Amino acid sequence: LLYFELLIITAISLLFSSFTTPILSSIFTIVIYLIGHVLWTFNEFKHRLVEPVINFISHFIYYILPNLEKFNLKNQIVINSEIKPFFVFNSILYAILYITALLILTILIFQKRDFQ
Amino acid sequence: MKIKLLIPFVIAMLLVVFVQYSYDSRVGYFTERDIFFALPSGKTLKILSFGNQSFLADMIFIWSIQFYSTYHYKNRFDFVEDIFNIITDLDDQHKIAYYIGSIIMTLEAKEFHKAIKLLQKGSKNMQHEWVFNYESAYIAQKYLKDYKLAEKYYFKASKNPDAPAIIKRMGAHMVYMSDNLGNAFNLWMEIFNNAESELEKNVAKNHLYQIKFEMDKRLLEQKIRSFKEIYDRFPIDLSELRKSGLINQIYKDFDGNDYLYDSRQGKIKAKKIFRWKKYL
Repeated sequence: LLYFELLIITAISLLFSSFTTPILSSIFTIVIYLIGHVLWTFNEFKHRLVEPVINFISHFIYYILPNLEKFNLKNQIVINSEIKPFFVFNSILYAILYITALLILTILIFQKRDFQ
Repeated sequence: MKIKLLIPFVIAMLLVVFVQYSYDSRVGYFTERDIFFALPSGKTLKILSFGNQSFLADMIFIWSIQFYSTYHYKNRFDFVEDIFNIITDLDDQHKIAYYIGSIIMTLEAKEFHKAIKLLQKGSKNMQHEWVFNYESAYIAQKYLKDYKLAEKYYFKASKNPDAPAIIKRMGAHMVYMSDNLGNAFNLWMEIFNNAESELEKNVAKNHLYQIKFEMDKRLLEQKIRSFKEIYDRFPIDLSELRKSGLINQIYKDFDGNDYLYDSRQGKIKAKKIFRWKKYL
């Protein structure tokens, strides 16, 4: 699963590289990596927020940004808890779909660039 | 071309949302469970922070607040000492980390000794702050009921020139609570004589009243028992005790009034009662 996480990070890095400088691209990628690992907090927000607009924003951020914590099974392994196949396959499918979306977006942005 | 690509993008994102939604609906995010994580030591993180150790300490501190607000992590207190040690190793002037860390350790984890240890680390690293010794003393007093330890930290805090006067009074009160009445009386007398306000004088006076009463009560009741052994009865009043030669003066309370004497039970009482020790 960590390999799939790496693939997502690479796709994010490619996306940023298509429209910004290498330094900014690496900074943005690191930021997304960090957010991706704490995205579960938005999941908590969306359960607790009453205001519909803010709730929608919270939902939107939660689903649009990559949830990288789902590829992290270290906790379950250390505490010896059961890892269900559903979660593994779901995570892999999520990674494939997310990478596909990112690559399409990268191509779209790349096509708009004027190299002359 | 653009629309041709836009449609698969939207479909892919919708599927991402669907997959994540199906994942979330089967995961018990809020069910109680254990958690494991590993952080490098404060020393290593200091190197990894490239000179931004205060910033990193702030980041870990904010995360720790979030972590300790996640109540479904059953074993979260297993890491409490390490987490706050890492933060304070990274930034040894992080006053709030010492303070909040000790509050979490005391009120939630019930790890009182660990809380005092963290506060003492703060006191060592920030010697101009009296609050760490004050908090250590409070934990020792309220939760450990270790009045000797509380006394030590109250007096340590009171030596700080910025410390409020109440801290010295708390220290003197701990001396009283650990049943060292002679020393407590001398300390309160010093506070009484050097009081800077009427309030402080009155507080000291109340304590002196109580301590003097307890000292006199112990002595008088012992003499009353001796009287009973000799005469097979309690003395009629305290002057009879003096006449018998067992005491050489009539003891009075701190206000100069006579004590109340119960000749049927041979017990001494004071006019004013301060119940600082519940067993009295």
